[in-house]
Amino acid sequence: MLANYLAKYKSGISILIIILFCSSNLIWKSNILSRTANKASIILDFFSETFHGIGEGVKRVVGSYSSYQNIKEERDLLREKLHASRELKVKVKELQRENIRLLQLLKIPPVVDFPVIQAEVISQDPDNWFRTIIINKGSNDGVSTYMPVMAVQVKRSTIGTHQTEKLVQAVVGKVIQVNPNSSRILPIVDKHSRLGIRLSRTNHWAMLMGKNSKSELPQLDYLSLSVFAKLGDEIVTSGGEGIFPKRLLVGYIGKNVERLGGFQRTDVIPAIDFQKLDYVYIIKKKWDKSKFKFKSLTVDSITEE
Amino acid sequence: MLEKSVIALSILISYFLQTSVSFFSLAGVKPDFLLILTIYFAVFRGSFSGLWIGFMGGLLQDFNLGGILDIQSNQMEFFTGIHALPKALVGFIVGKLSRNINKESPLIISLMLFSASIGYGIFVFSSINIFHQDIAAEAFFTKIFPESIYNAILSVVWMKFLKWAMPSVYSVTSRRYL
Repeated sequence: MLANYLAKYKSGISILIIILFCSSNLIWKSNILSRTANKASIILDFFSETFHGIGEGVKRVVGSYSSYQNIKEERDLLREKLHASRELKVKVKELQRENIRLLQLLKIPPVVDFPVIQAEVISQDPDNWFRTIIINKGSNDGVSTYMPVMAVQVKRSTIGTHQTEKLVQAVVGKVIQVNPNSSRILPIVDKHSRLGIRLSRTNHWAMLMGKNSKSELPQLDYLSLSVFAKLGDEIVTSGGEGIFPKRLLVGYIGKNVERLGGFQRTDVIPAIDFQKLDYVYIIKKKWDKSKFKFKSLTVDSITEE
Repeated sequence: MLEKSVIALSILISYFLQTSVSFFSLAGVKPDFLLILTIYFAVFRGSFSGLWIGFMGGLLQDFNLGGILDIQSNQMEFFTGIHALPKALVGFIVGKLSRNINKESPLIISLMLFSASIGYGIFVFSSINIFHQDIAAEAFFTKIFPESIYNAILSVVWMKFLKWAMPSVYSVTSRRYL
C-alpha cells in the first residue's frame, strides 16, 4: 500500500524532500547537517587534486602534440634533426616553466618576517558566481585559518615596441577553511571578502570590499573625501585587521570614483590576475584574536577612571 | 548497479571538469558541465532523473564552496542548497517540458539548454540575493547570458559525447518512444 503510494507520487515526494532540505540549509546556514555534509569536501579535495594532475598531464600531452604537428611539417626537410629538436623543444619548455617558477621563488623580496609555504591551486571557482580557491596544502603542512595568501606573477607590458616583464607579488586572499591536506582560500575578489587597506601615496586608510554593486571589480570604500585618488594609485594592506602584515601590494585604483556621504568609493584593479593563478604561497602568520577583544564599556568603569 | 555507478562517475567527472580543469574557461566564463549533464538526463531519461542528478551535482558544487566564518557568532556559514535546489528544479522542469520535443535535433536541444541555463542563472541569482548578499543586476549580462550561450554551443558536442559514453540512457528513451 505504502510502496504503491510512494511509487505513484515519487516525483512529488522527491521535490518536497529536496525543497525542504535545501531551504532549511539556506535559512539555517550553520546547521549540523551542513557542517557534517561539508566534511565530505575533504574527500572531494583529494579527488580534485588527482583530477587536476590528470588535467595538467592532458594539457602537457596536447601541448606536446601541437609542437609535434609543427615539426611534422618540416620533417621532409630536416628528418634527421626532427627527433632531437622535438625532444629539445619539450625539454626547453619544461625547463622554461621550471625556471620561471624558481625565479619567482628566488626573487621574492623579504616583505614579510614570517615563514612561507608554497602551494599549488587544485580547484578554482565551481561556477561563475563564487570565487573559491582550493590549494594542496593543509593543516598537516602547518596551514591554519586566517593565514594570509599571496602570489607572484609575471606581468608583461608593451611600451612602443619594447616588451617589459615585471614580477608582481601581491595579496590573493586569506585561508578560511583547513582540511588535513587541502585548504580553501577566500580571494579578495569574492563578494564576502573585506580587507583593511591604505592608499600607498597618501597613507589614507580605507576598506576593500569584494562586493561591488556596479561592476565585477572589487570596490574601495570608506576612503576620505580629502584624498584625490588617481587612476593607477597603488593600494597596500593596512595591517589593521591583524591578519595581513602591513604594506603588501593589493591592487591599483580603477576608473569609477563615486562620492557617497563623507566618503568616496572607487573600483580597484587587483594586482593579481586570478584567471592565471597556478601557485600561491601562504604566510604562516596566525591571527591574534585577543588583540581585538575589547572590554565592554560600563558606567562603573568610567567612574573608576 | 553498473548503470548507477556510471551515473555517479559521470557526475563526478563533470564536477571535476568544472572545478579542477581551467582550459574550458573562455574570457573568464566557464561552462556548466553539471547543468549539461542534468539536462541530458532530463531530456533522455525524464524529469525524475533530471531532478536527482541535478540535486546531486548541485550538492557537490555547494560542498566545493566550503563555508565562511561569521565572526560575530563565531560559526561557519555554509552555502548548501544554493546550486542544488536550482539545478534539481531546472532538471525536473526540463524533463517535463521535453516530453514531446524532437530529441534528435541538436538545435532544439541547444535551445533547450540555453533556456534552461537562463532559468538556472536567474534562480541562482535570486537565491544568492535572498539568502546571502545582493548582486548587481548586470550579472545577467556578465554571467548568466555568456554562460548560457557557452553551454548551448558546447552542448552540441558534449551531448554527442554523452550519448557515446552512456548509450544506455539514450537507448532507453528510444525504446520508450518506439
